[in-house]
Amino acid sequence: MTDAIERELAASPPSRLGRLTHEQQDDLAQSIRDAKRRQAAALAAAGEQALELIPRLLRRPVRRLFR
Amino acid sequence: MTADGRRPFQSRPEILKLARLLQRDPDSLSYLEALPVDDLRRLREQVTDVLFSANERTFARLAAASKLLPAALNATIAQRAFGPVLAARITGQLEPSRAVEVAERLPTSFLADVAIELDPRRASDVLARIPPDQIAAITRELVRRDEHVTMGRFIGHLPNAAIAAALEATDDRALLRTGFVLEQKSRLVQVAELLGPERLEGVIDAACGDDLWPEALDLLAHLDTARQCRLIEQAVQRDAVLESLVQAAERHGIWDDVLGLQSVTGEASRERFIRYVEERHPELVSRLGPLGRRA
Repeated sequence: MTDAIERELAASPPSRLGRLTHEQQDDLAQSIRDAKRRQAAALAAAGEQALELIPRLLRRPVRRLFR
Repeated sequence: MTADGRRPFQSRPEILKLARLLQRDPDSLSYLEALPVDDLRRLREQVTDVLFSANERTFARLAAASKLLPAALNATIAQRAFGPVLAARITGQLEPSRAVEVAERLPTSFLADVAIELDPRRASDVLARIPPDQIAAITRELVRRDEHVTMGRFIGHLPNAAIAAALEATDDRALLRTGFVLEQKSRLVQVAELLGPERLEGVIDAACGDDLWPEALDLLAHLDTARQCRLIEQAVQRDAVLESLVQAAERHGIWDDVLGLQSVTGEASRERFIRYVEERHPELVSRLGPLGRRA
């Protein structure tokens, strides 16, 4: 019943979430998916922005950590 | 209260927390009010775990990179590049002493923003090291923003000195509202200990003045019996308090909570309460149930 939410959580949600309608469950699952995507995109953009704030000399050792 | 024992107003803080994680308008998730509050809490913790672990390797690398940089530069990066949401995700990965050094260089308003997004379970080592005066400053900012839900998430993860500083920075009204949404209600006994008897009496005054009786009764219900008795016995001596309590019981439908607390008080206090209802509100005597019939 709550398969879509379970997929997004990679865990079994509380069983009573099965009381929600299919539309509500889909809405919740989609929201979790969107939040994960938004976070990944924000992280990539923030990483680039952070590098610009770091003095040139330190950029190389910092970049090395991300290889 | 609903037929299956749910109280919709208890679901609201959990929905608000989940809505924040998902960046949704809380009203758009109102369909979740149909679920028991324990299920909502479990769901919210699961969503928190998913979001905090989704980019865990990157967060760990960022934390490692932060060791190569001076604390002041890390503070600049946190504000200008990461912002409060990502800063909150990374905090739990930082070495606690390093995180505290960075926090010292950040403005209170930004730290309050981070607090709203932080999972205190993952950052308890950091929280334990933040100096009490900084905790007080952040608390004042959270009180100013009416962020009771955020404050309620943190109390269980702070050492006593920090809780004492936070309580000093919190007015009685905010204290009641925060206590009501506290995640670890068992800490209320400790909070009461730190507040002391005079401040606790002030909390009862706030309940009367700001119509916060559901919050005050919830606080009372979680205190030890000795404190419950003392507070109730002091409260029933004042007609103004009794009047406010009776009206709130009727307005909010919380007679069960009011009568439940009568069972822990002495006979004299109970009699005074019953007599007050009989004399001033005879139309409400039936609300007293068996307590009224016995009088």
